[in-house]
Amino acid sequence: MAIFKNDTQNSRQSETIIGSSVKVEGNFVGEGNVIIKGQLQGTLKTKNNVNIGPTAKVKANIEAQDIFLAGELHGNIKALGKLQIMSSAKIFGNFETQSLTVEAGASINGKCTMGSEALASEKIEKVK
Amino acid sequence: MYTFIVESDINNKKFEPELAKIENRLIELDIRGRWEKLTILKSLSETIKDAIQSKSETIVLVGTDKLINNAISTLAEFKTTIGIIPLGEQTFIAQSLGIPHGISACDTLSARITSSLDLGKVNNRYFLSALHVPDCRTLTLNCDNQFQVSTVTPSTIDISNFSEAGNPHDGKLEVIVRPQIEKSLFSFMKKTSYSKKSVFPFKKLTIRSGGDSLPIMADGETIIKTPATIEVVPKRVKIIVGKKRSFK
Repeated sequence: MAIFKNDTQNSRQSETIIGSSVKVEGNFVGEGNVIIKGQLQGTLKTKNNVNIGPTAKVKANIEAQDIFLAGELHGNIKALGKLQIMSSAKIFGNFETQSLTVEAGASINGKCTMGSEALASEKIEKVK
Repeated sequence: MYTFIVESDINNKKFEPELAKIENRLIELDIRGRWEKLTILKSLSETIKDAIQSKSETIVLVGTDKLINNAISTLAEFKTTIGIIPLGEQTFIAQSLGIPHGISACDTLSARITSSLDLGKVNNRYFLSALHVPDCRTLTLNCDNQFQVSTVTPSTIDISNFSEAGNPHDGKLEVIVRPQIEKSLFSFMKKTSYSKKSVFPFKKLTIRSGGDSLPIMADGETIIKTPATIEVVPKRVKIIVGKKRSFK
């Protein structure tokens, strides 16, 4: 949880928490940190960080600064900063990031593009 | 000029000595104005409008959260500065605004740190601090017409401007969803605990309940029933706040 520990301690900062007792569907666009412990379907885009907890079940494409992943994700990830994948994580989708940490035991089913290559592939896609 | 509006529940013998001390302290601080003591026959809304017509630049509410909640819809329509002297029980709004209870609030008035705060609006009625929806079985929240939140278990809902979460300067309100978990070991005691809360900042929220209409409460009183649309009105009121307020 060190990825944005200091930010989560500040309760007055605009922060979204998707608890395990709710189901969220749709396109979430925000600026603050997002913590997911429940279910999310759709897309999630934030200028700050995303923490997907071990109980989370996410079917969404996610774009954020730093992403901490310990739950189940069906969808693509774009981390503009760091991506931390924990041992309990299950990913079914592709991911782009500048910096990657993977713990032993994580399940990854998808393509990983990193650093300058991620930016280059993005530019090629835009030209096409 | 100041106008001091005293809540009807405070306008009795129990509070007379404290009210007298407050009046003396205000004179010491050279804060003078007109005192209006509310009664069953004297409407709060009319008292506020009369004060504004007589060029009162600061209206000071003397009493509990109930007085603030009842006054805020009228005050939101004018550009007057609001002061608070918390007296009696249930003064959580003043506490969050950093205003001390009773006579000490006179010094906060004198220091006059003003802050422009967001207000919440539910079906055309304003609120300053928070709303509460108790015991929801099935509920759907539509946030900013972007995403929908459904409750999986029975929950309670709180809408907060600054009481628990959020900042009254950020142009957003927060909806907090708390699941109700019945303690199985002593279930006969019917005590409930709250955990695994969810928090969503929003600008506009629509609440719909699956079955019957649910009450939406402010300060323990039902002010409206679901379905309801709640939105933020940025920087709507100017309030005198204390140094120890719960937000910056």
